[in-house]
Amino acid sequence: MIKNRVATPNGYGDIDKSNISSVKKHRYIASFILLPFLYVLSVFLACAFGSSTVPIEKVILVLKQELFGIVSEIITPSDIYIVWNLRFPRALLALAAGGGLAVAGAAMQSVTKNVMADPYVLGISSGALAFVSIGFMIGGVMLNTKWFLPLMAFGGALFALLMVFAVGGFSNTSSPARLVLSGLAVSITLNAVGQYGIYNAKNISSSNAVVSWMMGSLGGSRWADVWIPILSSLLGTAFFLLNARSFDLMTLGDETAISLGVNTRHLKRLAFIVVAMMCGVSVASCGIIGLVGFMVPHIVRFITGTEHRRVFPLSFLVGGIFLVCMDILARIILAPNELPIGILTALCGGPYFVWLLRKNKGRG
Amino acid sequence: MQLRLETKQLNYSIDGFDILKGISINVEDKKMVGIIGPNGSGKTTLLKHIYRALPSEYKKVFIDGRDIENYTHKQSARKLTVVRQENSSDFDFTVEKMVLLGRAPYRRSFESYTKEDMQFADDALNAIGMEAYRYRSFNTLSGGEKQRVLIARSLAQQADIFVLDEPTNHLDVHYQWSIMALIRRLNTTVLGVYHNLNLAAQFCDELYVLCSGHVVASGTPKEVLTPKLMAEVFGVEADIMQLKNGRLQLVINEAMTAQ
Repeated sequence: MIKNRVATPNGYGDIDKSNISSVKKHRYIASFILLPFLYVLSVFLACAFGSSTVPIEKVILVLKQELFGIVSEIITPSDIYIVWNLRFPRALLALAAGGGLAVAGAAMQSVTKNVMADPYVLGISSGALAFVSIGFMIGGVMLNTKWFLPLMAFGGALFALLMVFAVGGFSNTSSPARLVLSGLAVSITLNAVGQYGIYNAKNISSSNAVVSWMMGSLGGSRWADVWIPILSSLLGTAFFLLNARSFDLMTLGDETAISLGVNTRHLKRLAFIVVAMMCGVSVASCGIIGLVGFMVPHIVRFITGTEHRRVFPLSFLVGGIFLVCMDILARIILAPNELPIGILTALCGGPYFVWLLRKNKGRG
Repeated sequence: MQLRLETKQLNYSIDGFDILKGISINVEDKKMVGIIGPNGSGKTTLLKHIYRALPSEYKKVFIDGRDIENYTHKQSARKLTVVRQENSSDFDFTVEKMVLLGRAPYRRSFESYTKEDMQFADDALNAIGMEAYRYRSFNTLSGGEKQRVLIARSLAQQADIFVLDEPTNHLDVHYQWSIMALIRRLNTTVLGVYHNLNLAAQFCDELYVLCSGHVVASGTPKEVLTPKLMAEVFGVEADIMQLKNGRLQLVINEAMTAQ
């Protein structure tokens, strides 16, 4: 069936478009060679750069020593501490959070049939934030367990999703504008709850850390903190990948998806739970990092088209690389101080959001 | 005659307001059956029950004699295919990918399409004469072209009961007639909702007339489409002429004023 060139029907004369499918396939294959390379490279860079620079050769030696037990004499204990105890787990957290948020965003865009959808825009992140801050208030000794805050965040994310649902943001007839407004309403309310919780949480020793967490920060992540986010974004991505074609069908609307064999009610319910898990865990570990889930799927669909069996894995890779790079920037712009990464992602995502709104002006 | 599709005493209400009241319809094998009725009579709601977009109660809708609730969604999608009017979307597929989605009921969600799937998609595109559009983006097509691609998707779906949810409503007369002719040439079982009564009269073997959630008449177009029914149900004064080729032609003279 593979014909590379096909005569275009008269009157449309757009020769380039006739090849669009094979072009996107080539791009897809190319990106699957290029992206893993960038993925690994970004981790090396993240280990090298920061308030003090560790030369790349030393980074490689440290990782060799810690991962494969090849002992090296050149590296100092402080190199090992910086690279292995601070920067490497932090890079892993960035990969997990960025990948997870991007995949969750791609899934929400399909479920809502709306390219504006994103965990941040829909208020899901605010819901997680609100519940985490309530967790700070009432947590007590439970705060010492690793699962408490992620669970609260998951509950909050799910709560926000259900609220957007109740406001009517997800109904079949609702316009993109209504969805975004529903998300805004939920987000404003839950943000207030979150801020109240933080304000009242007397038992938090350093308010600085909490403020930077609220604005999104990967700082302070250690090995012990990265496993839950890694697990959650890998499991979530696997779930969406296994259901990839159903998400293709969902973009065509619920009725069409049903008529092509998708049990949409069931799938949506599961998707909400998985999205809430991915976003909640991400918020619990690194705060609100907005608009990654909004931008990355756009870039990926531009490269490779709408098919989700390509969109999900590429989003996972691109989202991870993007967040690692943003985190490097966040560390070096104001070095030795750190900029909350959420500020940077919002600075990228906001203008893009505006641009997309203008581009889609014609549609309600 | 073999019964393919059936509803038995189907009721449906939203917020205590009855939309469908005891609807029973039968669609026999290879017959084209039409549902007509004024706005708000429940036509589309009825179809949505049949293609599962609305929850159906048990023992109300049957495909090949078996309760639709006893089919999985994929199983029913191999029996019954829907042609709707596709709304514009933020997401884009090539024509080929759009047609291949018709194979989704036969594949697991992460499985690749097989050679057989490609062949069905090829055949479907050939059948509607759009093989040259294979790599075009679906969103750039005209309304009539889109509708033909969706019919190709239904063909690739290899389901032999077609449900038409006003797929030609927004099209110009040429496409309205040519798409219906295309569907009739498939010689398959068709249940459709029609707004254009002349189209329904031309292409249907049997009509059901819905009014306020009731079936008020059913039979061949000739039996059903009478000046009396046009006045009572549709609120128009109409002449119904029989053409030389045996088909009916409705001429609407005027809308009757409400009493």
